[in-house]
Amino acid sequence: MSAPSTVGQSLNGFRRTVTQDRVTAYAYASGDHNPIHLDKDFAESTRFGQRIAHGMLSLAFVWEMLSLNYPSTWHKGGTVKTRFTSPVVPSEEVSVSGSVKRIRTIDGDRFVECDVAVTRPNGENALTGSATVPLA
Amino acid sequence: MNLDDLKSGQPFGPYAIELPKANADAYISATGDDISIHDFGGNIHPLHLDAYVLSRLIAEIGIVENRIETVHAGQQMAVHRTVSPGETIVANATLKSCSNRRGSIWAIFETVFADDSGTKVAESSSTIIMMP
Repeated sequence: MSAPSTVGQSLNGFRRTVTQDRVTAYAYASGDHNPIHLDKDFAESTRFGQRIAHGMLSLAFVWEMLSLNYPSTWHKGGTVKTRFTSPVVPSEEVSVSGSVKRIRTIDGDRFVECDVAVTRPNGENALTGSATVPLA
Repeated sequence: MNLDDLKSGQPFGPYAIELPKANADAYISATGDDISIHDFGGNIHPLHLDAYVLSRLIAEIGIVENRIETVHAGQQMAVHRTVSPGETIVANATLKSCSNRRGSIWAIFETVFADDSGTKVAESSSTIIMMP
């Protein structure tokens, strides 16, 4: 698979189910034990009404997609800028997607700029943003 | 820490981070990302470093202890090189801006990750909304 480098081209995305087990495992691996992710009673008292997944978990999915599409360059100067726009609720299967927005040349080096998103089953975006990846 | 004590420009850390291989593997297992780790040659996932420091920050502010409702609103990260399991990285964070909007506190933390020679390995920015 060649790295997407044509404006409008879709990145190879994927779907992933965010289970409470995954959220709990993420909390222990990352050290983020915020009760809004783990404590059912506390989470039910918040504006969300239930436990929600870590935003950084959605960002990890985007990171994985960029690694998948740009295996030889993403880790050599890639940058990502995202907003968490809606919480992912455990048991949801999210869709991770992206597309090439523009090609830029900076100091003679070419970069691809991509729009990225994580979308919930109801069509709401949980995460939106952009990533810049060196080409070659 | 009382949230009223947060001030723009306030430093946090330094936080010394040394993630062992087992913890790195646990992170990969939790995210389900078995792609990035191969690209990194078995090294630490950069987002793992960032998430770990963010957790330390949140703990220092007292969000978990005081059960303060919090939303992670945004995140940026740039990576300059990979980090090996067991390698010591030092993270210095700064509260770049802090404002009160209709009773919620919006805070932007900027973090610089450097190795023991002081060379920058990554940098990030995190936007956190706290609703006391």
